[in-house]
Amino acid sequence: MTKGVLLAALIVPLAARAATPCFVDYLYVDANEGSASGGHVAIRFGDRVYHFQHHQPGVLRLHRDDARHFFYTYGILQNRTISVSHIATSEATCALLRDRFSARYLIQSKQFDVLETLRADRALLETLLAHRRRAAHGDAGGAGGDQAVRLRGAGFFFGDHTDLSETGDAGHPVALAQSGETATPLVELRALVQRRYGEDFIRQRIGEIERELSHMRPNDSDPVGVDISEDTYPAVGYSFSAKYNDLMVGLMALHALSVATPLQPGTYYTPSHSEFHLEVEERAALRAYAERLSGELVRLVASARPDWGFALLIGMARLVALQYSLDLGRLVFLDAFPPDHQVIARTTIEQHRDIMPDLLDEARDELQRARTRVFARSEIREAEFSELEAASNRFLALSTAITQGRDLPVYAGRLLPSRQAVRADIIIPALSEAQLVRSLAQARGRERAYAEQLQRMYRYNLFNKNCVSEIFRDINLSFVGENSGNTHADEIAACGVRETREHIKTESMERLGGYIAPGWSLNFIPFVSVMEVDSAYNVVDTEEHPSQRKARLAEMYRQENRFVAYLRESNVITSTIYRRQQDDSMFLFFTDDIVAPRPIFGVFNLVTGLVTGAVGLALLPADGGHTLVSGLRGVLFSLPELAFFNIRKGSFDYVSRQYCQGLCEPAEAANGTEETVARADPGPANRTRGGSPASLRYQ
Amino acid sequence: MRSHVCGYALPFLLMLAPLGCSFSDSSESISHSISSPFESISASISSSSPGGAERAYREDVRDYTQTYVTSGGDFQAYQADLAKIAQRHGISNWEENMTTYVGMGEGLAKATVTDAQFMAYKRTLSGNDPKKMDAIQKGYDSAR
Repeated sequence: MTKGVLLAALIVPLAARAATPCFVDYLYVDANEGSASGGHVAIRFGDRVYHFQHHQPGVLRLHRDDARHFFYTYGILQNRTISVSHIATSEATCALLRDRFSARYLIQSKQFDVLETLRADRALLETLLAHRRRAAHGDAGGAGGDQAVRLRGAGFFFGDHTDLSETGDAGHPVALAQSGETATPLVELRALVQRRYGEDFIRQRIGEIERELSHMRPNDSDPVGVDISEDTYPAVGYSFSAKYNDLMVGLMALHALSVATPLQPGTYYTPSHSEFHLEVEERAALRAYAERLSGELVRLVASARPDWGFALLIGMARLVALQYSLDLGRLVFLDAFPPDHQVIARTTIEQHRDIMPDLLDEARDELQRARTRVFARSEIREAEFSELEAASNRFLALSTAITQGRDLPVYAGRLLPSRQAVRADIIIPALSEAQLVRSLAQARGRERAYAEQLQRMYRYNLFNKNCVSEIFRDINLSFVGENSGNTHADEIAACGVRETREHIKTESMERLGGYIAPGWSLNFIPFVSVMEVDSAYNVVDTEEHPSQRKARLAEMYRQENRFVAYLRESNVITSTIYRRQQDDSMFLFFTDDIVAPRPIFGVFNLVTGLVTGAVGLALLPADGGHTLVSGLRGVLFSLPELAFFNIRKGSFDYVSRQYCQGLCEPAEAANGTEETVARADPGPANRTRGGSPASLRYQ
Repeated sequence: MRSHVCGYALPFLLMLAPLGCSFSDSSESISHSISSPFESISASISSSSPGGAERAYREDVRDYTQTYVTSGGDFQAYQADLAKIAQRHGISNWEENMTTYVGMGEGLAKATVTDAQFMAYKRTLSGNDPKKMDAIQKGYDSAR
């Protein structure tokens, strides 16, 4: 038994000791210039990390990240050392805390989702009013907003149509232009649908949806109560805009099926790279998948679920692409980048030409892994096929950017085909202009009121509502009502403030070995908070995951003459580890790995900042102040160095796989088995006490 | 070993405290704000192991189902939100994905519904499809 577990056994309170010990991790992310210059904190449960981030306009929101992604972002790219305090407690307490943070995350996400829904309701009413006015008076009459709606998934079969002069009589969509071509897989799918549900099924369903759209009424009553709470999940109904959009998307899907529309040009790729060549057995597997997919789409056409139309559009588009794949003997896949994807300009690609081959190799490896996963199964499933589409998109985008000098589309989230069509030829519900004006006024009021409530509830406050205080607050509130199911407000109403606070304190002492009160103390400072955690809670082990630069330096010191390596890596001019990023301030020497000469290096950095600032003044008309700001920030972050205090460490916009401390390999490769993924150690760490990470069981 | 905070560093700590919370400039993908333009290209970071991806989806469905059952709400709204969760995990047709139903079962167990309630939810959520009902039962049994 390792020291860490022994220590846990000794200090975990008696009440919890009967159960298997479990560990919750408090993470402290070191300071660096950038978005968290004073440091940052988080709480980790297994492979999930929860942390609070400050969003415009002054709102604090809870994020949930994959642990590896968190360590990669902060430790590798942002070059910050991450300290981990392992808090020993019982399985029951781990579950309680994890559930609390999960619930808080879901509730807050939904609340902001509701705000987006209210915005969408308002935007749709503006669009409908504009159409109604245009039909009645010949112009939109200042209704505001767009006069088209964005229909996700429809872009695979229909182009944009925003020419209002062709909308004709509001209430019926424009006859969809047909090229005369049809997609064979959709002809066959249509036949299957008709065989199953009747010849007239598609036409009848189109009619039903058109009638339903025409009879839609906005929900003018408040979708949620005026008093929203951090503890209560908003029980809202299916919104007006969501229902309208889902019905319109379903309508477009049925139109595409009824005429067996081919795929729109530019919505799919037929690359000739060898990476996309299909072997005989792979083609057989795709053929079988296409057959099964057809069966799923037949069921989908009659589904009652709200998003059936989107799923039908994506399924049909995939069906056609699969047929192209079988015809050509190579993988044909849909464009999967969403409309709001980011773009890396070709000039930036050119500036980073040296890292692009590495990125392309990584993307190629991921594509190969995705192919292996898809074809390893006896039956292809959508989840794996979707990953193959995503990997194919990323690889092709990179390859094209490098070989053809194009901009590079990127997207941090999961890729799923969702090409939208922007259409103005929409069904207008049979509402009078007066009704729409009234509904729009109410929608605007609801949106404003709700936004104000959220702003008030989640307003960032330096001392008592920040990324540190909220973690302690949620830890403490986990212990409220764990038996009664009461919310904090209910408990206070039932027992009073003092008793509730005493109850929380008692529970925290028993479960975590101590109590930390959020509020008016210095523990709102991230670095101070971690010292408080270490002293108050049952922290049985601490780890330090060195920053990217520190890890690389340590390796160099092992392999080379330490003095030579230090001299080379001490400054930005000769360093082989660091390349200046445009978002970093201007500085000359690194000061995070030395203490005694820090003020001297700080002086050099200060002068570098001042000189850069002076140059920046001269360049102001040409570069918009970028150099000036870099110089001023260089001066700012040099000042602490004069007093032996380091903030700035430099950052990286890309790190080659060999230097990623294991984080750049897929979880299965890094950890060997799926079993260990849940307990993934995010990288090499220095341990200050206790056993190795493998001996600590993470929840 | 963590360095000690010198007394004269405290003013700097106080000065920088307002900058202590990581500031997100992402208004959209809250869970996927980008640190650098090349971060999102690193596909290995974006993707998790196949088992990990499925587990993450199942857990999200579980947690959401538990929340829905506990707080009540509109069934269509539940399905609409389920669709969003599925799409965030790269799944468009969640109805045909058995992991969805295992997650639902786990969520019902975590919500500590009564046996009668469980049977009712099982029928409604599965549309009385036997395979889906089995998956819900499996999830429910595993989480009790």
